[in-house]
Amino acid sequence: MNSLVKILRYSFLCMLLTIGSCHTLIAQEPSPNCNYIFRGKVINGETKEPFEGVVITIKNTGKGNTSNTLGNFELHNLCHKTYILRFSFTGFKTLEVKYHIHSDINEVIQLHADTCHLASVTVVAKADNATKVQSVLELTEKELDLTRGQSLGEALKVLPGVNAIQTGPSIFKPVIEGLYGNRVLLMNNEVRQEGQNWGADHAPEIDPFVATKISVIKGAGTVKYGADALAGVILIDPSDLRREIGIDGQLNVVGNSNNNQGIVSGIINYVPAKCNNFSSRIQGTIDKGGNYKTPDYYLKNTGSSNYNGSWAMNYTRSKWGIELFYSLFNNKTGIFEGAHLHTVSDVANVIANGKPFAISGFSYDINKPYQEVVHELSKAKTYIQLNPKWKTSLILARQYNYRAEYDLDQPLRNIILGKNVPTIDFSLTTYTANLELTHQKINNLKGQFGLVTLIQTNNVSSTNTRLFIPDYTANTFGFFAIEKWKKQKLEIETGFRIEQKTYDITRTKKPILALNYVNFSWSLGANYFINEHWNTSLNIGQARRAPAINELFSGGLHHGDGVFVFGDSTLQPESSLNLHWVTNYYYKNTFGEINIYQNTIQNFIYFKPYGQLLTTVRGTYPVFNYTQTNAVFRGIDASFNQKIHSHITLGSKASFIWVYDQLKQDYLVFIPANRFEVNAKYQFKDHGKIHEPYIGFQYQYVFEQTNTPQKTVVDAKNQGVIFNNLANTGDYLAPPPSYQLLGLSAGLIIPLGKQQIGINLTVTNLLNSKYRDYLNRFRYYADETGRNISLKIKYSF
Amino acid sequence: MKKYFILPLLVSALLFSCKKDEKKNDPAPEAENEIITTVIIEFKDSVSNTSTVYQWENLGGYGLGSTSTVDTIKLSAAKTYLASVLLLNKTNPAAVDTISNEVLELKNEHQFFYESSANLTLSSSYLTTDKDDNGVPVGLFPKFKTGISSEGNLQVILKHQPGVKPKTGNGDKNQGSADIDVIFPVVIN
Repeated sequence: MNSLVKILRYSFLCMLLTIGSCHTLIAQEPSPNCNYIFRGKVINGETKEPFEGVVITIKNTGKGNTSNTLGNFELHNLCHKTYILRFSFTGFKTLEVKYHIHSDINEVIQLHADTCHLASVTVVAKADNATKVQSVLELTEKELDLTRGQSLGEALKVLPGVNAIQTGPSIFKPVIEGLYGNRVLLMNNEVRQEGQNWGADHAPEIDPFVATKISVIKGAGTVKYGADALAGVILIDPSDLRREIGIDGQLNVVGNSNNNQGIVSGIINYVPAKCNNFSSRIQGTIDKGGNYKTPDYYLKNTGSSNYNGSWAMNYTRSKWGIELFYSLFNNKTGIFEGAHLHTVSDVANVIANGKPFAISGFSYDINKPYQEVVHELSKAKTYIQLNPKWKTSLILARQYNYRAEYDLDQPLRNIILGKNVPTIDFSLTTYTANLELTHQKINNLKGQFGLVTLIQTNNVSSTNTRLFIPDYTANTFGFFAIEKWKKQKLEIETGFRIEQKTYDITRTKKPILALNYVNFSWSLGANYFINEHWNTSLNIGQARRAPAINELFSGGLHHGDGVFVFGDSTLQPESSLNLHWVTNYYYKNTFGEINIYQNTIQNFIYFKPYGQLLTTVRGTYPVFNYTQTNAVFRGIDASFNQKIHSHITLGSKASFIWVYDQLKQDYLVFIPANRFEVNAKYQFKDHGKIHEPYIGFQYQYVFEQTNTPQKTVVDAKNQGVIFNNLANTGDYLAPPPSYQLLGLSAGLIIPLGKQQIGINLTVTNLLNSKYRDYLNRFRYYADETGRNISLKIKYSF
Repeated sequence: MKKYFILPLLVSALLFSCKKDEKKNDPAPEAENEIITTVIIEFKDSVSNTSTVYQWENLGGYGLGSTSTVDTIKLSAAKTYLASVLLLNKTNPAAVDTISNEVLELKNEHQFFYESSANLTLSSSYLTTDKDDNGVPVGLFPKFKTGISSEGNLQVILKHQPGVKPKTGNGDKNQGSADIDVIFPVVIN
């Protein structure tokens, strides 16, 4: 222990404490209760400024907290015993202090920069991400542990206001405030994820085990990432690399009962010798799952397999550093065969039948139709601390995305020749370069500027009959600036971004053309700290999004959806005007957040069933097309947690949304239904080697979506149930009724010296309820999956 | 200790090489994928041996706004017809491809089904010579019998049933996926 620790030892505590709390300390009798509170303030040892974002953990318990903007934090329910508290922050020496608790404690903690990794640089980056004038929703490692075994899109549904649009049981895309697809940007380890995100059946190509923190940001901070972030930005960040000498790691093993899925994922972090400035990590995941099961039947051909890997390496000097990151994502997913029968009469038959015709038992086999996806990311980041206030960084990245879809229907010639040729395949290569300049506080102003470049090419290698997406080259050049002014209790943040986007269509069935869009977005927000526990913010912003390639040029049969999809090359850019009011309260046993928003979008581009049919040699198909209108999105996302007893915490969250098509004076199709959730958690006392045992219960209620289009025009010659539904609800099948789901979770931690085993058991759809969700594209054909028991074991060393 | 830093580099080399393997698996670009643009059905009067040809065609393939043209099949009442089906790909007019030859080659996983609408007095049957290796009908050469004068539709369906085509009996219309699903108007006089 260093001298600082000694100073902070309990014996000196009284001297540092205020007289008031010393008085409390003396006055209070030691009690067997575990109701002591540790109130602390973390300050930067060099600048003496409050230190935000420091992670405080109570050793060997997994409990902890993070310091707020004023550097304050609280730890509750401490017992009459000795604890070791650990204070950590990238680039600073991790501090471990022993406290003997027998009363409430007030304490000031100083963190000093690590002389090996003098990384005030990293601090700046962190502080920017944690900027508070915008709404930030976060999934921490602990919450992510409970979602292990789910895909990234599904895990995100835990966040209030985040939903998923789904294609079958395994493909999820995040929906924020009713918006999805190209309007939700994904930043994977600081690089804008450029996969083939056209179509609802293309899930984000990211290994969820790489992430230890997932946050959703809205407001001024989003201009850093793109002008097109109409709904928000999802940041997926791995944990910081190890700073101390030595080795540590993690092994995750997950088993899911519904589809007999097994996942093994491991991480090793390594720092070889003191102060040689290197740190590294390797990580990998193997995952295999079979057919999913609804309460009544298996979903034929819904198996999937993944093998993913990544490595990272940092070299850090006092004034500069280099970070390298590489990841490879490999996925093969079977497409539910029951959705393949999709001519109009087939759709009508399956709907009338109430369950799919394709029946099967359990199998791990993945047959046609299936899709194969490879996503590779290589990233290099360099940063230089120019002077104590200014820092610059350059991030260069290359992404290579390959996608092949194998249809059930193959050209007969290939079958005769024994060739396995994808029906559609794309190679998408994206280069990005981001040059950023960041400054620390100068006259209460903190800010960041940046130049952004993106060059993307798409190649369709083997398709001719189905040039679903044309070959193209897209270039984006942009500039952004964000400044944050803070004085006492008021913070004001503003930012803008200007961006030029061009498309050069190089091979298409339509005439070759070039498109050019200039997008400008800005945001202005104010945050007021009413007191240390309560703040409220108001944000206004405009964003503009150029139509995406799929919205412009889709043309053909979309096998994941079983429909014909057509784009429109005359679509105009969308522009949105959004207003957010967020307030949150966090004190002692109470946490609450309310987000009320309105987003008015001119030229809102959306995908809808078209009242027409397409007659092909293979029968008559339903047609979906991209179209645009003026829409208004209004909604409220709220969450509230209350500890009602030393062992019991109650929680609740709700999302309500109302979307209206202002041109047609009608509702819009495919908007998430309103929903709320309540949960309760009982935390048992530690028992010998068993730490933090708990049992939790969740109840979710999802309303029927009744706000559906009433005025869809259907060609009079198209008769039958599905066209009646289309005329009345805007879709071939009326929205499913409301449903309710129960869930259970339980877990514990077993510390084994420096190692630790965490075990979590979760049960979703506990009652094995039969239901369908409005946002699942396969809801025409089959029910949602039934009960799933998931066992997650995490071994850390 | 520094030698340990070779580890991530080795892993990266491994990962890069994985990707190269992936690329080797990339199929070679195909010149032309296959599509059926044209369904031709020839009806031959079993007594007079006179034959007439009817055609369903959509040269636009799968494009929005592409139109299909179809002939009305005109038959005489109370007669027997021997028919044959020809499937063509006319996407490239310089090299018309006969897809029905490939269907014949893959007869163990294909079967045609002929469905008459309720009021049409037209019945179909499979010839004993028109069968796959397991003795299950293929249906490239169906036999039709007409009744009294009527009007209606004949639906011609070609199901591709790899692995699921029955090995005995007369076939199963509900298996597999449709390679063809077209409707001809029919008038019987």
